[in-house]
Amino acid sequence: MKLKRRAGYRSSKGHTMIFRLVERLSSRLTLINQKSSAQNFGTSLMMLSVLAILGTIYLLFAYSTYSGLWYHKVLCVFSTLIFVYLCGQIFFELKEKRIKKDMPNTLKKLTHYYNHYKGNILPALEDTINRCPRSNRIYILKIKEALMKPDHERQIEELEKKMPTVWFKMLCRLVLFSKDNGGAASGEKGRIDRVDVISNSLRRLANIVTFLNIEQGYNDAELLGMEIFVFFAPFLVIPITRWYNSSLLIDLNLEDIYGSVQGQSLTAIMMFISGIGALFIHWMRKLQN
Amino acid sequence: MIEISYFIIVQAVAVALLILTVFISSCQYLKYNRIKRLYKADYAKRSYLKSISSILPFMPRYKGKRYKAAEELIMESGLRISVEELYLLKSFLFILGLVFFISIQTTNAFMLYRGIIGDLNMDKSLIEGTVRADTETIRLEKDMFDYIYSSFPREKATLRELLDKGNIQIHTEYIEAQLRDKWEYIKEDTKTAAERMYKKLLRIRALETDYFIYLRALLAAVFLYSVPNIAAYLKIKLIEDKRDWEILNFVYVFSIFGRLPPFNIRNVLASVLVISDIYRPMISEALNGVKSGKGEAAFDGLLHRVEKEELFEIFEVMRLSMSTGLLNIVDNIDEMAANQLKWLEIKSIKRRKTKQVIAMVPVVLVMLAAVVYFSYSLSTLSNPMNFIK
Repeated sequence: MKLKRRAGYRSSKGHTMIFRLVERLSSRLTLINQKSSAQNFGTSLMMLSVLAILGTIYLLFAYSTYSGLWYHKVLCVFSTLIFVYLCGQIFFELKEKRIKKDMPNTLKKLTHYYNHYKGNILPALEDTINRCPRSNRIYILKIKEALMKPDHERQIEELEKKMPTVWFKMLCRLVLFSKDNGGAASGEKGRIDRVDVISNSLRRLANIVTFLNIEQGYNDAELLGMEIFVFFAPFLVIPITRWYNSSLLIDLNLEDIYGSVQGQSLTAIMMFISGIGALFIHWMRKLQN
Repeated sequence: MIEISYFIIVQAVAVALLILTVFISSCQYLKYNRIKRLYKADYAKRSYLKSISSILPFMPRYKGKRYKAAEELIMESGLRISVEELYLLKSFLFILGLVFFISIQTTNAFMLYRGIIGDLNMDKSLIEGTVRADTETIRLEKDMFDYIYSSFPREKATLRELLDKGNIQIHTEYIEAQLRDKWEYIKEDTKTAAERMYKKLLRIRALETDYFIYLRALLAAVFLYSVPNIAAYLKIKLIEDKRDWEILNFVYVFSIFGRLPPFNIRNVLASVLVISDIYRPMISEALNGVKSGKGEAAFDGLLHRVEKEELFEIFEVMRLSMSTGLLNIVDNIDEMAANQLKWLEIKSIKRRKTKQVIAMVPVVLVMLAAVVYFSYSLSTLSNPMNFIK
């Protein structure tokens, strides 16, 4: 409701659509920075404005390159929408990738301080907050704050839903268990090699996250290069081809050869294939994360 | 004015189809909103989908063979939509695609018509003297063509007859005589004008009989109709890695939470459910079975359905742990995790190659488009040379 009020929500269609877009951006940002939707409203609105500006620049470029017939204009708008969508996704992806990449490091630090404080989770979290990578700090801080509240079980349960990755959710569960049962006490009774299960579990978590980061990193590295190539190829091909071929055809008064309907159709097809192709590879990359 | 009735008819049919689709969709949407106000949104959605799916032309019979196949495809690919939604999406794509491609073809055909009729320098090279196009000349050209076109009715002078080399001279001479009779004071040489009119007649007739362009539009629309299915099949192929990673995650979560009190499988399944995505329905089913006190029987149905060997093993271990105790069995899970890691490394290498091949399709298409784009103006550059020789 607060967000609705801040957004100046009205029942008109245009306002509803902008509000929905801001709301979607805001909820995605909430997962990343752990701020409330209302707190993220300004950032989301700014992000929407930046995306709109980028989209306008792209649209102007596309419109000036091909807009002779109605279907050229449709393809212009379609390519712009794909461009704006990809820009938004890439922004979030960069942020989320940073979080995933830094997570093993954070888990290693937490394991270290956990062992150092002999299974006392709160000081371990406190020290981890100060020394873990910046991108992960907010999550550890939120976990610690939730743990310190009297109804910490419910708080952790709620926090779990707001975590950006499944492994942070698992960390929430582990930390809650540690707070309730302690570390060494929860070891397997009667066993000679009795060890702290929390410490072991944290180590396992770090291992699996590292492994998945490496595996997904391999796939990503290969496909990301292709996505960038497919997306930016027209921006390289169109100006260079126009400049080079115009210089060849200038003596025949045919320097504006790409201004013809056929030339514009070719440009539109290339931009469209590039947008759809990049979107397809992006979808492929997204599927495996 | 030249008769171009069939272009108009096809376009009109396409627009009528679009209007009908918009009308039906609006009616259904209003109905959905009305039901939503009275009942729950879920019920309204189900009722809306049921009502609209009865109109869809290729909608499979409920629980029929095709329906079940579609259901299985959706389930395996994790599309998370109903069969009705899938067919609704497919139908929308088909109709929008058909209208869009037909409109493009009609626009192009009309543009070609105008271009051919108003072309005063047909097949002339750059080195030949070209005629300057002013309003009066173009009007005269159009009048001349309209007159000649009406002298060659489609039924009597078919494209095949016009293309027959033996008839060319007779036709040209006939056109020349017609032009001379009608326009006595024409400035241009009537023979040149007659030859040009004949070429125009040939091209217009060829355009009129080119039904293949609409067949192409239909094929493109059919392709769009099958896009959701293609996407689903591709997704099944592409999420192979994700399936394995998810199972590996299950193994790790099992290994972690299997060692924590209260040492029961319900706790483990609750944690596994949090990280599940593709196998969420199965995990959910197992958890519900355990919660409802089914015991080992909670896994029996799942064990029959599971295809992945590793997942089968996890469910079997979970089932066994209910009688032997979780702590006695959790060490096996650690061994399983170690093996799974090694196998995944090998599998990933193979799968990365497949993914690269799939991703190469857009790369090749963009490169092809770039080559065509670059050579477009160069082919124009070579045209004057062709005319000279």
